[in-house]
Amino acid sequence: MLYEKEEFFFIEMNTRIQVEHPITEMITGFDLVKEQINVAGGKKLSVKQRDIKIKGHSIECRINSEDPATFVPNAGTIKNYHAPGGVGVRIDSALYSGYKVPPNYDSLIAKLIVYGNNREEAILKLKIALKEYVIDGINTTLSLHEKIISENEFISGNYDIRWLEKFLKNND
Amino acid sequence: MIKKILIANRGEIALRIIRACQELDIKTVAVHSTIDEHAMHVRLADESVCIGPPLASKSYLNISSILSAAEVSGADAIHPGYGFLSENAKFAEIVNEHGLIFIGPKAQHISEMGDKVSARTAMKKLGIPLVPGSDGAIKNLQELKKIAKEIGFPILIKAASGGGAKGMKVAEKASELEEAWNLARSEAKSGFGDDTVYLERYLANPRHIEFQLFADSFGNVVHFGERDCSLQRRHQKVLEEAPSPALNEEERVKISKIIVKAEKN
Repeated sequence: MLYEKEEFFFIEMNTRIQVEHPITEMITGFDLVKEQINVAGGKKLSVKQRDIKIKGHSIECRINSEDPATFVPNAGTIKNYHAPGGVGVRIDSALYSGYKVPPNYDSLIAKLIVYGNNREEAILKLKIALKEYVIDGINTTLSLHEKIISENEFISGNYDIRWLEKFLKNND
Repeated sequence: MIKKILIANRGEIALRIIRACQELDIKTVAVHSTIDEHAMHVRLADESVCIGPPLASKSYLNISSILSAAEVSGADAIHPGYGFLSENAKFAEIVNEHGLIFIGPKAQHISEMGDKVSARTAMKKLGIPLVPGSDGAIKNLQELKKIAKEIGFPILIKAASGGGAKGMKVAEKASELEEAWNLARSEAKSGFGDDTVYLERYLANPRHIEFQLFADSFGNVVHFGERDCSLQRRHQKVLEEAPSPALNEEERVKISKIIVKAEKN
């Protein structure tokens, strides 16, 4: 939905697991894919609404095999791969050292997901994890995420759906 | 009980599904194109089947290849992941017709929500607030001009079968309507094979917030809170966070009550 000035408007419903489902898993502690499989197999939902408690804060960065400035997709071999770790750091990715990213598909190659007790802690963990993440051999949007999360608008949480494009334009 | 799942996808989401299956003691079948022979999902699944050449339309979107792979491997369910065939109602229906479980909503719900005009109609009936706009498809330029005047500028013309930025055009004033109408329809036609478009008021600075709903086949519905997906470039999400920094608890409760009630109906 779109949310503006305390009003909200329905725009669409996606009838599938979403790319960003991990951040919901992080703040609720439930495995949505396992739940999907169980429910499809004829089981009842394993939870009642009252059992679902939102705790802490989670952020996901979509890492794409694209030039961080021009967004031109690129393919090629991953020469060196090191995923960050630590408490509250999750990587959902099919990359490995020596893997050849094909040019034929979506450019999403990794999702870096962090969880913190609050938003400030999540941002801090994200900053550290982004710095630690090594994906050598192709261009990725890792450095773009480092820039985004150090902007005041992001840190304050005060951004809308037009902000990123304005920010990119100003940084041209 | 599901014993073996075929994953009709690739990349990180295929791995995500394989991991869940392993925890549930369910066997997995990976499908792959020729170029994905060495991909990680192929390595991690219990079995794999090559379903065609690199071009997605000949492999990951090839319904008959995927069904043959399910048949030869003896899978009893198919998980579509996201993208590819995940929101293809026809695929969900064919999977069921073959006696297999489609892991996702019923075909009828996929098609109702997949068509944005019918989704709007359904949501309106359930009392969910919509961006002010046309009640359905716009028939001609005259009608577009009339409705645009009623809701006020700027307006957004959107493809009924669309997704992402394709088939979306903004008109700031009445004189821009004709060009936006023509562009939106031709993009919709070439992108989705359907030039049906509808109209909405264009919000200047909104946030994009999604609620995660979950329903079983017994009529139980829960929500898992919201995600803020406002950081986008060309309608593609770049970074998401949960909870949204913009919603307070009162708003969260209010919105979730409305949508859970709607989903139950």
